[in-house]
Amino acid sequence: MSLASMIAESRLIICVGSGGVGKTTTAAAIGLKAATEGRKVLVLTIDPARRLANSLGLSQFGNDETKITLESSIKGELWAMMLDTQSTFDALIERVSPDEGTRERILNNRVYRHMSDSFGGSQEYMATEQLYEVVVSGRYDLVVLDTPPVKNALDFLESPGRLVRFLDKRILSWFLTPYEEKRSLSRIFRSTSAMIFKLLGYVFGREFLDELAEFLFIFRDLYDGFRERHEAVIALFSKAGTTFVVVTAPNGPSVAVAQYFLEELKARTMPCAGVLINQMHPVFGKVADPSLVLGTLASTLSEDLGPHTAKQLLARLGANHRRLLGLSLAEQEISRDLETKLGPSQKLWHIPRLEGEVHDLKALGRVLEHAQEVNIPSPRPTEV
Amino acid sequence: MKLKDFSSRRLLLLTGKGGTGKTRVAAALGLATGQPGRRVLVVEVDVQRSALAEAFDTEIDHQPKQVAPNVWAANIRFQPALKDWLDRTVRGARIVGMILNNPMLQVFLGVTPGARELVVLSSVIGQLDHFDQVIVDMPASGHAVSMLGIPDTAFSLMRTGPIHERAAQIVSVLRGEDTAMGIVALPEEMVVNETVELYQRLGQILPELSVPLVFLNRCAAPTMTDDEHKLLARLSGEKGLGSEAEALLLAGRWDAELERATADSLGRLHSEIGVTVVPFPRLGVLGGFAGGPVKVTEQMAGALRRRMLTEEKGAS
Repeated sequence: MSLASMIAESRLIICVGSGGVGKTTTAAAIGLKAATEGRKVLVLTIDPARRLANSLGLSQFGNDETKITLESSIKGELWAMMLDTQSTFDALIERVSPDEGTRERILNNRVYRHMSDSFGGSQEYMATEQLYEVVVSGRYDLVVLDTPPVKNALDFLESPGRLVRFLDKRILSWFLTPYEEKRSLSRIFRSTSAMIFKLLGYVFGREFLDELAEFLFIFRDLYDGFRERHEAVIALFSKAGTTFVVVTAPNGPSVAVAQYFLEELKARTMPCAGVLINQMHPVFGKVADPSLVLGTLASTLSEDLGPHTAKQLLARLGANHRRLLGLSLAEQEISRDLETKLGPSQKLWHIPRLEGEVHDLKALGRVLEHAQEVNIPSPRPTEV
Repeated sequence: MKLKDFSSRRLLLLTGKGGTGKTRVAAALGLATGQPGRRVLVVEVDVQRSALAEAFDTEIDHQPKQVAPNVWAANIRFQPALKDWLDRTVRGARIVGMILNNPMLQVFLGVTPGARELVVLSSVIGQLDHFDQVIVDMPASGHAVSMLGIPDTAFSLMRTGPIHERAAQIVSVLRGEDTAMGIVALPEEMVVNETVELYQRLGQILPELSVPLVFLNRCAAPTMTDDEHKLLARLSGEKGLGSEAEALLLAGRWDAELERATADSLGRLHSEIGVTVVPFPRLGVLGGFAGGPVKVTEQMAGALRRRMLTEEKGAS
């Protein structure tokens, strides 16, 4: 699939990759491009660091879907939203609670209140929750998701599972049985699980366990809803119209994470269009002698400047050019190495590093303008 | 705060936006501060793929491994950390064995909010018993803040028992005078924005944690004169110079841009958050640099050592 057809045809594009590779900017650029082509697009970010707002030229935006003002000639629409874990979680509780009393008890439970801060993965879970909602709502032609920069690449796909596992009935009943028994004070624990429960009480403190038990007790009935939703989200990920894009930068550590993502997505049979290498330095020509190429012009143009200006600048240009040439050759090598890791239908794109930073819509519009599909020589290495 | 005073603290935490080079700064700090009589451990916190492995060009696992004279490195993993934790908090090998061998309990610990992070953090801090200094390559910005908030949460959620006590110990170490955090940044507008925000958030959430330094990676010192800037602009304005000339001029503009961005970033970090900034000159491509990845780590360690020496001379 070409970059153009991916942007024109997909319903859901998920950008994954390590931190600092320009993932958010890429997600925003894809969204803007699709809007330019007349589609109605939502870019969803989980990142509280306002990177998306930054690249859209806004100081910040909230947890509601916000329409971005585009040039009047653009027919499509670009919307953006930042995810707030706690309010999404609260809304979810609101929706699934059978009655007012249950809702209040959950919202006031201290374990619940700390859960969104301290439960690794609850952010990711809530992201998928929100994502599902906007995708199935049909309000947008395309949703672009900017995933959190988790170092543990697996978390994004696994964490929803972790939360669901937490609410697994078997674990709950194992854990809650002594709790219920204690509540009814019906019998003295003799079973192994009761003994372990006592031990947990010793390790965690009885008070915490009681509160945790209360939380789980209320949540128990919600488990089926959570599991169904999680399964629906995973199904959504593997559906036609959904595409993962691995975003990376041309350096060793980022590319290692990109490869890891390729493997993980393949193992999960998730559709992945390919890898986009951001921030590529332009291919600088052969090492040129600055005084041969620019010497005469430089001395003419510097007549009114300091006596050594031309000489100094030319020496500097030569040194920078050699350094950047080295850098760009190393990047090309990293890219060629990545080519061999791609599946048969996956593409590799280069996006050149722009002069200046991307913090307005105009600059954002230029990001994909120079995107280049790398011509991968055939025969392609067979997959292992 | 001077780098020399920062690096004399026993527990150093490093965080920052992803891709800024936290891991390599942590590794370089380790090489710069390790010396006879001062055993230093550089650790990662439960990462799937060790990035320290690249910085030191050797395999890194849970067990500390010597990577240079007086310097060790480790990637603290949850399972072995759990065993350390139980050995420390629960008396009796039988009970420890029971917990480690019970699959339900394993699931319980794996999914209880914050338990995993707390156990790993406890193991990291426990390393202070074995090393003179522990340098921690923390997760990126927001994730580091959540992780550091977990002991506080645990402390207030679990009001009795060994976890409560251990959480209290961890909280007091994090807030203590022998701990400091450094933020790693790059001379780029968005990275500086995030650094300023992170600094302010840390001040709100963990006001007692000392955050005196920012390491600014890949800097270019301002060496271009105004006249050179003028000439570069004039040359860039000429048409039809040919590809060789264009390439040279583009290279010049990149460099001018980096010098400007470095000066801007230094200025903003001083004026907006008032921290000491330790700049590193740019060195080349990670992993693709002549001499290999360890060379880059060593060069950065050298820059840190020189700065500390200069500080000492300045003081005397």
